[in-house]
Amino acid sequence: MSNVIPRGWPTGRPDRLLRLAARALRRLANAVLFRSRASTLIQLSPGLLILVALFALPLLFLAWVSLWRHSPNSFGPTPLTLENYRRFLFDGFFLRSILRTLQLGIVTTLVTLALGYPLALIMARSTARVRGFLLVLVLTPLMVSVVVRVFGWMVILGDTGLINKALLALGLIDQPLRIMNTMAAVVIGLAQVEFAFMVLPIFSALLGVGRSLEEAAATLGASPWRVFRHVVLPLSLPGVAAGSALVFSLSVSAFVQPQLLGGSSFFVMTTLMYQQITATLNWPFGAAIGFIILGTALLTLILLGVAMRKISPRRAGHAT
Amino acid sequence: MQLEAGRTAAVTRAFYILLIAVFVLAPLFVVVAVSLNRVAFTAFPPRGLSLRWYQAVLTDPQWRASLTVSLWIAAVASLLAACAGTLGAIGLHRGRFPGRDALVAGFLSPIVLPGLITGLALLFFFARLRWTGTNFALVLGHVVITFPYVLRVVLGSLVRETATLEEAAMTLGADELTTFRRITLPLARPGILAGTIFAFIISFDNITISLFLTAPRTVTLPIRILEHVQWAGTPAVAAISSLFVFLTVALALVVERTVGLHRVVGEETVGFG
Amino acid sequence: MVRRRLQAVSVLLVTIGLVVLSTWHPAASAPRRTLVVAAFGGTWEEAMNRAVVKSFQRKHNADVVVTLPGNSATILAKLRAERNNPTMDLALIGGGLETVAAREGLFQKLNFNNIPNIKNIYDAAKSPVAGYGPSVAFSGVKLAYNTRRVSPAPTSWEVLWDPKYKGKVGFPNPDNNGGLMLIFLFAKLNGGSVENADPAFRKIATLKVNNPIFWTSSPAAQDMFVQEALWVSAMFDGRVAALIQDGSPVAMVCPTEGCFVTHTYANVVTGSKNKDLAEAFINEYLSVEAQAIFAQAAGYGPVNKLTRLPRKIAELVIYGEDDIKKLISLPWDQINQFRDAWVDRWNREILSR
Repeated sequence: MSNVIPRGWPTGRPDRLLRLAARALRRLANAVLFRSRASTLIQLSPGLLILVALFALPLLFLAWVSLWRHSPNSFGPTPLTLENYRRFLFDGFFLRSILRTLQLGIVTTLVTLALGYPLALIMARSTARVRGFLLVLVLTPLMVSVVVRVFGWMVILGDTGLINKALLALGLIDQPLRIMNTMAAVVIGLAQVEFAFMVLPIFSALLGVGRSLEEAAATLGASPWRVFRHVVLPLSLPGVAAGSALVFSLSVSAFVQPQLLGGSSFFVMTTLMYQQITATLNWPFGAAIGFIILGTALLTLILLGVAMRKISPRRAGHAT
Repeated sequence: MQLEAGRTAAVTRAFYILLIAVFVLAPLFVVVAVSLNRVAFTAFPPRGLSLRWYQAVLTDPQWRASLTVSLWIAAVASLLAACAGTLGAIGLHRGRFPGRDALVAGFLSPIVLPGLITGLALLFFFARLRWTGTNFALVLGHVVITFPYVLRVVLGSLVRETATLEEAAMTLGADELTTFRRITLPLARPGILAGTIFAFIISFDNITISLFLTAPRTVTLPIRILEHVQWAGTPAVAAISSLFVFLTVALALVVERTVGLHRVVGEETVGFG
Repeated sequence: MVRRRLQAVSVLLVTIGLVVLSTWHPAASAPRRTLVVAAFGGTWEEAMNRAVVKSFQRKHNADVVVTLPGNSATILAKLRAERNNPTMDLALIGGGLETVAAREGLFQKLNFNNIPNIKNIYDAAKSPVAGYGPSVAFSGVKLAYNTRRVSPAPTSWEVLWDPKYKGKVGFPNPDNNGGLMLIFLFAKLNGGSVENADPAFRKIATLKVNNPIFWTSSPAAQDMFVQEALWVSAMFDGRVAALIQDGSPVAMVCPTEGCFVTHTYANVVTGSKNKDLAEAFINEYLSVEAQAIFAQAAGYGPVNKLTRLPRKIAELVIYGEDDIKKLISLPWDQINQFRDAWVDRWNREILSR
């Protein structure tokens, strides 16, 4: 069995015992962490522990609450009922909100993807200094609290806001454009901050695509566009998948932007859920909506993941 | 796709970057402008120019305390999230088992579920354990909602090339641990870094979980900002937000001058180059 | 090299362990007793500190920790979760949620012998559910308008239907207590009641032709007044007072049909071990001096009959027997039964396009 001897490994005699111990430990680590049948499970265990003990378990209580019948001025278990789920899922008004939520998620994902992929490409092919500048640029909106950011957008997008004032002054329009209180405003507000979550994963993936691969393809006679389309793009798909998953998830669970930029008539599942928890105090119904959000979003994400796998070129044994 | 040396390409690139910059920074210009107000409310365009709100915020011990608490919690939470997320990503990257797709999606649940419900669930959970009001519970709560970022981003950066290189290393005689240390981790580094940055920022900005879990004496920065927006409405909040923007830019400049940004964002290419 | 590596690993593990442990234990307890008060931030916190906390800490040799849970709904959530082991002693809560909490047994009944100042408060400020904590401040919901854009000065809620102000009128959603109040009012004005709010919904539906801006967040509405996106709307008087003091051309009026009063009640949490301190705090809050300072600093009306305010402040807040008589107080017990139904109807009939 030939182990590559790591640099700096001691060779003196007093350290022989330590060497043997270290080697044994190393074999143990390899066996347990990487070779054993349970190695995947062990690698996943911290994540699974957090997900189960700190997330799924606490949610069990709310799952139970979602099966209670609500009555004002009291909060306690009742005979279990599926009424809350039925109320949401069998009602046109609420079903439309599901559609609107998914629509918001998908549109925001597509917008950030269209805007973000070129930027990730530019970042990957730039010097470290430009890269650093773009990194800071993209992360800056996240430095500012969400309420502050959204108030900024309200000033810009409002009927008496900057955009309208500028367009009116230039004579391009004679009535203010209605941007606020539409889905467009919400997408703008979300995309600005979720931009980083799309760009950075794609950038990370692109870094993994060796330039030599592209050079090789180019030497073999492929035009830059073909190199991009058949080499770079497919290999960056894991990054695209990661970015899309993050942006979609963030958009679906967002509350401040839909409420303040979309206006009171912009019903997405999250704003309806907040209404139930804080205004009507109907926690059972609110909890049920929360789980419906979780279910529909996870379903969409799984479908997205499966679709991504089907698109990406297959390589024996190591498809994403 | 080579970066064409042509001038049109360079101009297009610059124009594109400018467009993105305007889009990303637009509301922040408003925020900075508002922070310079002389009056005590958030007028735009600003009425009078003054740095009084910056002074107010920098000298107020309450704002400083909130800042310290938030930085501390975010640092600990993002560190723990980085460990759990990276390990999980590596497990998912190699693993082939039924339900893998569902698990990858499932790990995003803490992000998909709106913070109000997660916060409420954690509140009741920790209350049962009598841990509400401890920093311990607060950190755990933040870890729950931040580790999915690390996991997903690292998973996305472990491209196919990783497998080839790993195979090559093992053929050359390296065992798994060495391969992990010398090949996998460095290749995953940009992803780990990006994911940890996300985790830090998400924890630092978090409102809903913190509202439910903070101790009476602990007021994190976003909570103080929220309270201020709800009940005070002065430009102080705009000042603090602008300070952060300037701080981030300053930090980047410092890193560039001293360590060199390439240590953080990576060399021009990775792999065989 | 191996030794160094092992050292490095063990140092790392120990550091992580220390870090985790350091977050476990809260700060060491002080020798003085501590009273935890759940209140609101910003101007409320500052005003309360000036008016009550400082003198209380001196007189009773106890520390006061003000915790900022965000809003009444979060306070209610914490109260419910921490039922058997509360981290708060005293909670300031309003908007009908104090009634919910009292009925759920989350608050303790008070010993009014320990709160002598309570003899001097208006009857309207007493707890809606007998035996529980009193209100510490009056807050009103009136009609606010931009004095430059809206003339003549409005005297009735009907001004919201005036086509002159199309697109510039505001109306609070029932998510905001202001909305609940207006539904109650319009129901009564048009022959309905809390149980039968149909007339209210019919009336408010007719407002839609005037392109109203329906809002939930008070700070957002306040901002809209500053930006002149809103010219006339129902608003909380504290917010209008802040706008006026900042120089905005805004005024408020109590329309002929009526306007509203709402309260913030101070209650002792069930299971608190500092009931005596909490009652002393409430007493301090209700004193003449504290009420005067708080009213001026925060822009709320004093509940103590004996409080005297300078005229400039008196004009902006609810003050005096006459003011109070004119105001409509909501039957929260009843309204709480219909929150769910009203919000649902509102979403479908008023907000849906």
